[in-house]
Amino acid sequence: MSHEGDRTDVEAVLGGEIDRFEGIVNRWQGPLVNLAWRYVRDRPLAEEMAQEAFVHCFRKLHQWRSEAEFSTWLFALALNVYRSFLRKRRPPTDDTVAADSLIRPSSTEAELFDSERRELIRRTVSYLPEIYRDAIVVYYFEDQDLATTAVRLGVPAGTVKARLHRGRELLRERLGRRLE
Amino acid sequence: MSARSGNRVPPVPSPGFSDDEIQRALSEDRPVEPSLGFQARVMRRLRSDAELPPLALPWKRFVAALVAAFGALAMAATVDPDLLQATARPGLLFPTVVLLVLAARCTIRSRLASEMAASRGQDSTAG
Repeated sequence: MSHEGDRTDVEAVLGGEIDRFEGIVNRWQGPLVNLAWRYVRDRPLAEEMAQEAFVHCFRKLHQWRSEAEFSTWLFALALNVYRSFLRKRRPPTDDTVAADSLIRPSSTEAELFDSERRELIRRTVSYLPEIYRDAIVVYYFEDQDLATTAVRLGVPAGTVKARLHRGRELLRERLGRRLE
Repeated sequence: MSARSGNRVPPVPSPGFSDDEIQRALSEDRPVEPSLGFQARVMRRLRSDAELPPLALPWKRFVAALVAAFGALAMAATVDPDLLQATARPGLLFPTVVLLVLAARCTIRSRLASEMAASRGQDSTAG
């Protein structure tokens, strides 16, 4: 990602050229929408969350210290926005509809059945307690890079590892319960 | 095998989820592309936020409050002249001024916050 582009755009925006924020949106819309998508698996909602993250970014742009990576600052801010968004919008406690479709598959194609199982796994991540959900979402979003995940979450790599381990355990338990 | 079983879904190997399957599902998640109008929507929202009129200090209320405060002070001085002298003592003057400034600051901040919330509400309704 263009670090220099971020820096010059931020300086221009802070100098009053609001339109230069477009460069930041253009560079980061993909990652921010995708991160939100991994939380909610609903495109309109993911875009709403990402838009909120950009609005917060715009309002707090003066707080970014240019010694720090812009991406680190932006992702920390986006994660906070997403967390508070998800706290306000509690997910439904039960999404057995997806599990039912696995027990009685409507398609005769095993491939489709497999994709439904994969989607159920991804959706179930949203129902995990926040610290495990965040660890799993960010870790896989960052292509399983433990160090980057630790930076994004602001915790030591060892903590991320422990949360991933426990998170996957919880995930397996919950998935098992859904199929019972 | 009956003819009926030929139309049925292939048997599910295992209803449970293995670590491998979970790992695969999470790592093979395909990214989504933001919709075409996303960037424009974000910029529209930012511009409309930036175009909100600056919030004016409620001078009329501020002056009215100041007049009321002086009135109350004058009334207190006529009822008990010693009170004003006591307040003007160096030990009491500073805390009194600080308290008055803090009270004024809190009032103005809460007023500004509520006006800002109201104007944002109007903006989102209009949008």
